[in-house]
Amino acid sequence: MSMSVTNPNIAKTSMRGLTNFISDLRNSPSKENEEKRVTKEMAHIRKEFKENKNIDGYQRRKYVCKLVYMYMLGYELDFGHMEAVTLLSSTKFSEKQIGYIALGILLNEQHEMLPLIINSFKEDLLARSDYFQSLALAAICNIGGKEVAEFLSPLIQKLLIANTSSPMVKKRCALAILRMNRKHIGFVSPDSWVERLVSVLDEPDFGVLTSLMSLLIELASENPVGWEPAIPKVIYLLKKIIINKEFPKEYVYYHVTCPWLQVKLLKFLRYFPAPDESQGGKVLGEILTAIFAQSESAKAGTVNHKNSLNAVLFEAINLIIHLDNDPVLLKQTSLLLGRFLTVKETNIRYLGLEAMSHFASLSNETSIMIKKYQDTVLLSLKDSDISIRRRALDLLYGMCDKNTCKHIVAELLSYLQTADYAIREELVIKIANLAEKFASNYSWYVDVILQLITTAGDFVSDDIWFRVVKIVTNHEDIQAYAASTVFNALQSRNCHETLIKVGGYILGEFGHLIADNPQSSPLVQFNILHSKFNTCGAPTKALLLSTYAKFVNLFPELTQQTQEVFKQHQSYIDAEIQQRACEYLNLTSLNEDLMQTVLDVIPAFIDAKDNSNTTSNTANNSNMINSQDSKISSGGYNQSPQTQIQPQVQPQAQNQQQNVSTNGLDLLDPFGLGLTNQQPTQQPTQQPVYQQQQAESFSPIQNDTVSSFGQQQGGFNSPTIQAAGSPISSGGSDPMQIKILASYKRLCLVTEGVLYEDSMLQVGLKSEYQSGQGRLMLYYGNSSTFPLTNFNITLNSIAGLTLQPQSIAPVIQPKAQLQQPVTFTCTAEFTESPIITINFLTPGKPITISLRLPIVISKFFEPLRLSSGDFFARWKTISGKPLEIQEIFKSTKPIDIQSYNRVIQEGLNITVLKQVDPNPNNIVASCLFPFGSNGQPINSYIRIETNPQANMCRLTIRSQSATLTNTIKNLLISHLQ
Amino acid sequence: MIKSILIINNHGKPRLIKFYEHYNEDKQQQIIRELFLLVSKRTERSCNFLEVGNNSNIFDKDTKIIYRHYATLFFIFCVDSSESELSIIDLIQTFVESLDKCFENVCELDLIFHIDKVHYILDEMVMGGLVLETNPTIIYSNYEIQNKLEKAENPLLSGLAGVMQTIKPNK
Repeated sequence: MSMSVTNPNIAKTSMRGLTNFISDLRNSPSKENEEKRVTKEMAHIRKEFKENKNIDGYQRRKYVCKLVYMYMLGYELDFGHMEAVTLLSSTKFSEKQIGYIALGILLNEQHEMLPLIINSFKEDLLARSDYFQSLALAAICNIGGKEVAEFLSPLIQKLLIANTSSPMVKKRCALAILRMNRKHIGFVSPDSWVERLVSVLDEPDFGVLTSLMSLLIELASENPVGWEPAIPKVIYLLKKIIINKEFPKEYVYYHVTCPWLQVKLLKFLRYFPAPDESQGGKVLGEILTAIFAQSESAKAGTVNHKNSLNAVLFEAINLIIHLDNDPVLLKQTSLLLGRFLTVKETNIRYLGLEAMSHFASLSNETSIMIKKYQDTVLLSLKDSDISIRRRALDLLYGMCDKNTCKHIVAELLSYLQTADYAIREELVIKIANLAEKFASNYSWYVDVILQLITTAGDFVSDDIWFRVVKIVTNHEDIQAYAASTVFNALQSRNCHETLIKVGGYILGEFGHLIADNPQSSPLVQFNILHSKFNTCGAPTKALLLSTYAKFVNLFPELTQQTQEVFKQHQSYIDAEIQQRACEYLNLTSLNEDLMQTVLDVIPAFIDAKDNSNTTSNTANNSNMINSQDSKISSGGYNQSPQTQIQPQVQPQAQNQQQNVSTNGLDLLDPFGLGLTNQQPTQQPTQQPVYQQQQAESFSPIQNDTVSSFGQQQGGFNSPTIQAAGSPISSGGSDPMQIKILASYKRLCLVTEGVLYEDSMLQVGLKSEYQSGQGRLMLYYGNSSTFPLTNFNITLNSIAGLTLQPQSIAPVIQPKAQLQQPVTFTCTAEFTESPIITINFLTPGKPITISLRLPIVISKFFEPLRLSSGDFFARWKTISGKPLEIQEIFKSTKPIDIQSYNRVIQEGLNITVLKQVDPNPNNIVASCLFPFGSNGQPINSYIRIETNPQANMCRLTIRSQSATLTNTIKNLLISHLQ
Repeated sequence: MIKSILIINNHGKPRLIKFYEHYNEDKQQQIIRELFLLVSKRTERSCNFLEVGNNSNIFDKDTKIIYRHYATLFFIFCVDSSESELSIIDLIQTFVESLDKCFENVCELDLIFHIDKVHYILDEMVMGGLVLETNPTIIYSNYEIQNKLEKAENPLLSGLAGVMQTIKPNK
């Protein structure tokens, strides 16, 4: 009781046990003590709930309060849900109330318990008490999912419109409908709703109106068509508040009439084109003018008063910008925004900058109107508050044009030197974008990018330097300038690695343009690059090796030095570097003609959209949030703008990749010698592999070189062999690939079938597996009318799987078939399937097909039957990453437990354990992999919890091998999803 | 919409957490820590808004923090871009004023020992992440009525308190 002396309010609590408990926790001297106390209390409460048959509502209430408190401190609650549900059905308001509070915290819309309480919701909605109804509506709003929406929406609609409902209930109904509509887009359609909702706008209660406007804004943001009848009423309401000054006195907040309602009314209008005369367009003009006037007259006042005035004012400004039809107001707006830039209140400066960004993007005239503030905005870039700096940067980016760009970019570059890390990445992308967009000459552009790399190299993404290389390659007039600039930049002792990459590339291509200058003679160029070689990472080293190979071609006098380097790296630990060293050594010493062809200058890149650069997508994305208004104007505002943008960008990028492989080009491998470059994905079998000397575009050259040194051994950018030009791995929507992928997936589950088929060739297979050994019979059928010659199969072992293919005849006659037996042995866990590469000649055309063989680890699994007790005993012995992996995924088709069981048991050889988990929606399974890399068999334990309503699955896998766990996860997801 | 509402004290201890989007406990605690780190290092002169959505693996893309600092407590609202910033600032003020009315000069301890009441008040003001009521008078009167309902339902308790009160002065 001594506490009550220090705080009289504590005595007010009706639950002394709760007070004591909280005091105990607060007085805990350490985190451990707190945890101990919590564990003790949880055990006590759990016991009470379980054993105390006479537990009364008061006690339940007290315990639930305690649980809520522990939950807030971050302790996980795995019980108490049922008690909260019991409290819901109490007839006492106070018990019901705490039950609802607890549920709001413990449950979410996917929770399995939700169906249990839908009926409680309904009963409370039908209750006569406003307070009971309100509790249910709040819970529906907070945790209700789709099911709740379907079941209860008619009732809630009725409550919203009914004359008998109190304002308290009505405003909650409006919001509950809004939330349900979010779960269930389109469930409130204008046809059936517009009249009813518009009639509620006559409601005198401002609380109801505010909620209703939230609902209307949401609906209009989805699709404004059909909601126009609300416009005149909304304008009328604004007039009533702002011009007629008719409003309930209790809604005056710091001398401003319900700013929230005003803001919402104004915001609603932003989803529609400027209202015409019949809708009250003229009145709206008067209203907006009045808002400006009142903010002028009320300069003094408390912080809160100013704040609410400005809330309305900024919404009005946003509306004016959206309407864009009143030159007087626009002029006033620009003046006002200019003034905001220098006010003392940081909030206003922030919002002013934000609004100015929208204003600048409106039209040429508006962007000219604010030109004069450019220097002030530049000052804001040095503000102490990062929020302000971000806005200023955004605005400058929008203000930039041909005339101002040099100045702005220079300012941004100087700011970059001192900018903090949080903003650097954004800044770098924006500078690179501006420099490219407004470059009048490309030498300036090259300077800017090099300066970017020097000042903030860590933040310069590959995209940016790929871009500069591309531009230099495509513009002959700056090649010599670029070469000498990078050469000079490389003189610095501490070069950023990105600079070394750019330098390596550009000197390799264009070093000869400055080679006549004795200061940058070939040898000097080589020496300066090679002096950095040892400090670089593997990708850069690989790139430099390519540069040296190019040097040999350009400057024969360097042959000895470079070959020395190649020799040193012939047995280098990194496979990519080793491969390059060996190949270049042979290439530069064996055949001069071939060398000249392979190492010829890269032709210009073909770029479908030369004006927009690769980085612009990223920059646009970072702008998305800030350009909210432009989206609102187009009526397409969405809760998550990014996701909306993605699908549009994606197909475009893909097309480009297919047509011109330069977009997906990997400049880490600029000469196309590694394997990271993707073959054009269209029609993989038709892809010509040129043997002739020169080709007309860049992409065939890549293939040319690939075929010349066709050892497809994993590029350094992708540690797995998958990316090795395999048509399967490039993804995409090509029907051929989809077919290949489908065949592969099917064959992972069964033993025989067709792996590949096109107009010329069919590949089928049969397989059998026994205790770690496997036998595969591959059938190659020629379906064309001509013989397939030089038929050649490459099939290499991978780690964990030794493959022994038998040799095969080099020709398949028309309509004939070849068979090839392959035996293999599994020695350890393996993660990927082996790749088979098929090469052959059709009349005049060489063809290469790469396929994944459907040999997956699950083919080697053996059954593992466990009782429930055994399973959980073993399950518990393993925990934590990486031995345990948990993943949640959404299934693309409706979840069917039976078919899941079938896929797992019969397809993936994983033993499904029945009767371990009583929940019919869950699957428990286990399997044995006898050939673990440590010589021991490995058991794996798997739990799959499905939620068929939401079509979601949670997958948990535990095994003694991280590799195995991960591989099983990938397998399960790919086959269950 | 409002994604979450938190009250965190000057030492980073949460005094109220309310999430309108589902996160597990770990994620919630991560958010609390991150919010405190972000907000506590800002000066009183900084603006009340902080964009956190970009490049964050803790917050969703479209997230803005709007907060106010009162004495020992940060009132933090995480919202998306559909909310008007200044309206949320006003809303925080309304929240504080409502708490003040209900607790008569609210202090941090009130929030600690009456966490259930704080939730009731919040539920009168925000529902499912949407602004429900902005008038402190109405929020307070609803709260009072509910209190009375509670007392009426538990006569024994209020009676006992009454008895104790009458005993005290005599001692």
